[in-house]
Amino acid sequence: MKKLIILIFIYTACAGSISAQDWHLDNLMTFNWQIATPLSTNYLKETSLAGGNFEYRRLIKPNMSVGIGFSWNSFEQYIPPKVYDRPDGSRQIYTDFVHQVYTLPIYLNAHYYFKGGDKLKPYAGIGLGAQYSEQSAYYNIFVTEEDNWGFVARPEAGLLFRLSNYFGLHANVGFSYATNKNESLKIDELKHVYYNIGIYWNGSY
Amino acid sequence: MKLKPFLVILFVSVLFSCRKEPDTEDLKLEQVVATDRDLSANFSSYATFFISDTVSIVASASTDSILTGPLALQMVNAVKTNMTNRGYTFRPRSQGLPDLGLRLTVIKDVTRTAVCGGWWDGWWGYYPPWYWGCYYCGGYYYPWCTTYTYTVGTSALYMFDIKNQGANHNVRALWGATMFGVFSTTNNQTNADLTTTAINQAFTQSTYLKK
Repeated sequence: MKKLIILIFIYTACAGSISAQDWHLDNLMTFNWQIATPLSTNYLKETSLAGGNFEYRRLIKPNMSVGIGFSWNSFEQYIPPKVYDRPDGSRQIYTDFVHQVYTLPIYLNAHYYFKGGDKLKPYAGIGLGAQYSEQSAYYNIFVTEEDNWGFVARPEAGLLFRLSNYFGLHANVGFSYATNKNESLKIDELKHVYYNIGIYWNGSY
Repeated sequence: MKLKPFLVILFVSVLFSCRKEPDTEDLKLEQVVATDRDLSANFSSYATFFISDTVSIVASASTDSILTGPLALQMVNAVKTNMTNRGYTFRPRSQGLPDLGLRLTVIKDVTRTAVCGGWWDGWWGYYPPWYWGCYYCGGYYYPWCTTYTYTVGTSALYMFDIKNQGANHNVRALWGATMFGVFSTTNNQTNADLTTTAINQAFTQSTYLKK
């Protein structure tokens, strides 16, 4: 539902501003609250509201920027008690868990800005870099924990909404793919869809 | 050092440390139960079993070696009930050797964990420590520490093959259950209840245990 609302917001905002007058970008800094939904992992499925994002973008052409970005997300899910059986039937273990994954991608980004209107500017881009991650499985008072680094790719599309020449609102949606692996917890990769909602500053930093 | 790189390093450092700690209180309500079996054992070939009315106990006090009385009986009776429900017959010691022998051992160990925070961790260093009744704890911005005391309990229930013991009385372990988790420091009835629940779970997940 949240995904749908954000997509409708972006679509409506873009469609309504195509014929409006264009506006000028300098360099951008964005601060965002980040919501993220894990994809294709049995380890975690619950959407995380505990996340954030910061990006700096330097305009190298009027419609193109490069920069650096950081994000963080704390995914968490309670796994009710169940029996885990070894395939040969020799051992079983019964417990409940709290599964947690903390991700911290640090990346270089590039964005292309489409011709927008007086207030709105849609864009698309990608971030490429490294992702630090911690994966933890808590059970009773014990924890099994591992941290690792992986390569991360983050294609995204978003929208800038101008409130003044220097300040405005920012929203985007993207997909994060990282190669972090954890053999003991059977994690081969970390993927999630993320939604950023925040603010930006536009100026010559 | 220029301001911008410093701010970037500071920002990344904060991110590395801002992982949300999960609430794990509910995880302590039940013990973890691990069971292990000898795959070559044919459990339907045994008919009788024996378990003592006492429980071996290993604790911080060296005088504690055997647990007797109602708490021990509660746990032993849980084993007897489960074995009977699986078709095995209890054979008292006076009637000769049983086919299977079971032994329950409880290990109670006190573990202390100290967690220390700094001025950044909650109080922002605003209040001096003596405000909270700790005059000798240190000066301004001195980190505070909290000591959590856990009593960790591990119970082991093992089943031995008495029927096929050799001439030298070597017995083979056919099945074992290890149950572990946090114990109450003060309430032994709570600990007996936790262990009883864990014993029942050990049998529930060992469906192959049947006459």
